[in-house]
Amino acid sequence: MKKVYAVSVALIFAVLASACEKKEVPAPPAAHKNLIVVTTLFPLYDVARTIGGDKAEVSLILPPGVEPHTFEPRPEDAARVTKADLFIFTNEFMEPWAVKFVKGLNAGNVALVDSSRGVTLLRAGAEEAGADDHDGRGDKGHHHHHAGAMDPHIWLDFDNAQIMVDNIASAMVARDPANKAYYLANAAACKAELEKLDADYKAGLSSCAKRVFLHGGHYAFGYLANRYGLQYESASAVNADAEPTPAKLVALVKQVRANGLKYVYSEELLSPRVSEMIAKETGVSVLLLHGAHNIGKADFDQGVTFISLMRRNLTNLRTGLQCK
Amino acid sequence: MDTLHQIISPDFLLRNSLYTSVLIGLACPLVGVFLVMRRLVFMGVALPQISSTGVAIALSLPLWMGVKLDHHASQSVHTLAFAGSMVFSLGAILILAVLERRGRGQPEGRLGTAYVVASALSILLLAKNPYGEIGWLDMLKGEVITISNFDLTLTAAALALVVATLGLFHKELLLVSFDREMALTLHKRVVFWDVLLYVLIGLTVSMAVLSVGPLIAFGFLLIPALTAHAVARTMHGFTILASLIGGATAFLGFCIAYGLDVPVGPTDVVLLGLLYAIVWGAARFMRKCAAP
Amino acid sequence: MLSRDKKAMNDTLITLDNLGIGYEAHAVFAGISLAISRGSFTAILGANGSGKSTLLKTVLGLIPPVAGRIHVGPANAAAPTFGYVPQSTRFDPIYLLSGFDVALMGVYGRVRPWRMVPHSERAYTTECLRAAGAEPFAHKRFAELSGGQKQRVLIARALATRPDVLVLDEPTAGVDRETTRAVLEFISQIHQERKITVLLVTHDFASVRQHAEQVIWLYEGTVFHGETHELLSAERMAKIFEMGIG
Repeated sequence: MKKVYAVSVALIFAVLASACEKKEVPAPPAAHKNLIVVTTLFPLYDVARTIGGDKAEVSLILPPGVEPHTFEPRPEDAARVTKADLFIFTNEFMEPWAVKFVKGLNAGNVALVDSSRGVTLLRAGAEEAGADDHDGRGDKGHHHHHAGAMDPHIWLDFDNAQIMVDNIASAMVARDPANKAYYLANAAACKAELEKLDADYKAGLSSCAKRVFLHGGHYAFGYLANRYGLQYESASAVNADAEPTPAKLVALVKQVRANGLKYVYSEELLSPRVSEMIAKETGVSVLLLHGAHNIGKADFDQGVTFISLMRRNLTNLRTGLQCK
Repeated sequence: MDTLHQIISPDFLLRNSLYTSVLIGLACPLVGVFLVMRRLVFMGVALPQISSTGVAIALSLPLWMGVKLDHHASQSVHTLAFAGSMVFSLGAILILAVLERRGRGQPEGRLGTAYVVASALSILLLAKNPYGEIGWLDMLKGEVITISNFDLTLTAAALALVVATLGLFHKELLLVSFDREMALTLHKRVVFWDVLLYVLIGLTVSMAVLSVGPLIAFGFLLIPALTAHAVARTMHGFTILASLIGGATAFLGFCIAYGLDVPVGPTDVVLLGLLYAIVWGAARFMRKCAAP
Repeated sequence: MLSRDKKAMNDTLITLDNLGIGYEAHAVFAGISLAISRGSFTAILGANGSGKSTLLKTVLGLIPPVAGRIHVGPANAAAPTFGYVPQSTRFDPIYLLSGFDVALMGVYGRVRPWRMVPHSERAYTTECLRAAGAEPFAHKRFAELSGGQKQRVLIARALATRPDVLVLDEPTAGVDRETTRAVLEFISQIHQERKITVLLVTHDFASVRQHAEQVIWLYEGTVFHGETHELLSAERMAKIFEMGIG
């Protein structure tokens, strides 16, 4: 009997040991990078790798395709952050775990970068509060679950995105002053692209038959709608875990009909079931409106960027809003 | 009143959701009655979780084997999810029931462990999400609010099968539950009836988890049966009352959720909990008054 | 010679052939060989934990024998029906069954699985309840009945199976003297009126002395089998106890 125990204990340790060995991540390519940067969400990752160029090794903590609202850091993430120079997160509402997580690691070297510094956060659904009462039930209560919560999806306003670029660039400069010119030049190029994107959105969305877009996912496009003077409604509240309510769904269907819309939008990385249902009921089509929180494996492999995602969105928005 | 009128109108947008939740509300307590009588209440908590872990594993399987699933072929995804859910809930209930019969160890401990491990496993599967493109978190959950005609038909068919089987074989299922030894001396095939009951429980749990999600499945499996047990006097009364409580709460929950603009699942479960507390309290009070 | 054997065979209802009993291959008793004849009243006696319930369950086929064989009934006839009366404390009070509901289970053996219990069988159940003196409280919830009342309901249930053998496991456990006497007298009466074979497990020697015709006595790992008046005579008992002590 004792022998059996001894053997099994030995076996368990052997298995554990081999499991630990496997975790040993292969060393990064020999080329020396000045900065090691860990980011949380895709927009930050994309901006940081653009600014950092070949001077920074940028990684994304979210595995491809993982929905960020349900994300929990894993032990290997902790190891990665400990070795990093910069840890960039969106804001305290998007990643409430971030500050606690990094501080808890006691990694003296890593600097915490809040990319939203200087950005004015909007309240979720604030721009539409009381603006419409299409469902005709004489009850405005269904808007109230949006209001109150801060909307963390700041990157969907491209002015905010430029502020985020500045924040990331100055954090990189502070940590690696030797390459200041390099980082600032990349940042400027990045901002110019965002400027161009914004102009294209303004032009592209200026003469549209519809000014309302409806979304079957969680409340993410408040900033975008606000910036371009559109009306926006989503099935779920601002956090992706929230279940859509039956009343909201009925209201959305009524809005599709009342506004004579031809399309509803679905979000990335989550099931399009709600959008599909609305579409089926009203006989309209479903288009993707990518919130860019994170991207899937296929997009990663194809080298999709934040800008390219936003251009895709513009195309879909122009289709959906019947723009000329 | 206006809300009620909208909901019961035949062209109400969410009629499928309403019908399905009422169906689940009526059918789940029927197997819940057996869970309560067989002292398998913990099973009612563990099974939906295990079943949804089964869905997660079934949906991961093709990717582990290098097959790319087309998510828009929702029928095949659905079938796969159903198979995973069924295999896991049935496997779990059979294993746990066999251990129970052997009478070794702590059944609550085992069920608790099964529950926790199943939840942890589904979190791990999420962390190593092989899908990239789609949140099959939603697939795990089932959403009462987005029920297609296909879902409704499948749920209705499965539940009809369960109800019919329970009705036809009620006396055998009751006998093997109440007095296994007696059943043996009457030459009843006890193992067959036990397995049949477990298949019915597994089928119901799987259907409920897939169509309306584990939260509602938990709620309707156990709470109506527990509530009815507090007041019923006979087996028939117990069974019918449990089913009626489930069906009525499902309907009422939907109305309230619609009226107050809140999600359906949590509303149903809170409502069931409240009803249980009130009925249990009232039954106790009445008994005290009856026996001075 | 041959005809005499055949006659003996026909009279024998249950034969234990070098039987070993116990749980999961662990034998409590081994080498039990005896015969119980049709129409007899046999008491299985023994102290608590002596293995008498194990023997009973093995005979009923609830647990498999660990060795040897049991022959039940004549070779060319249908297996006899056992009317089993388990200990009344065994049942989970969570079941909302009335005394009648419990007794009705006795007829389940004759009703096909998907069929309703026919009216005639319900009437028969009522008759059995009446015969067992359980009719006045049959509508009450089984779990709320007294020990003696439960016992009567369970006997009614066993009668409802139309048994060839009435098998009772400690029917007088947890019941007062008066009820014990009444229950045993009732069993005895059924035995005589209906010519039913009775197999009764008990640890109460005194109560069975006047009812049982035969005794199977499990004592200190030995099985004694004989006529009641012979086996439970003062001299024989003294001898057995001495043996045990020696």
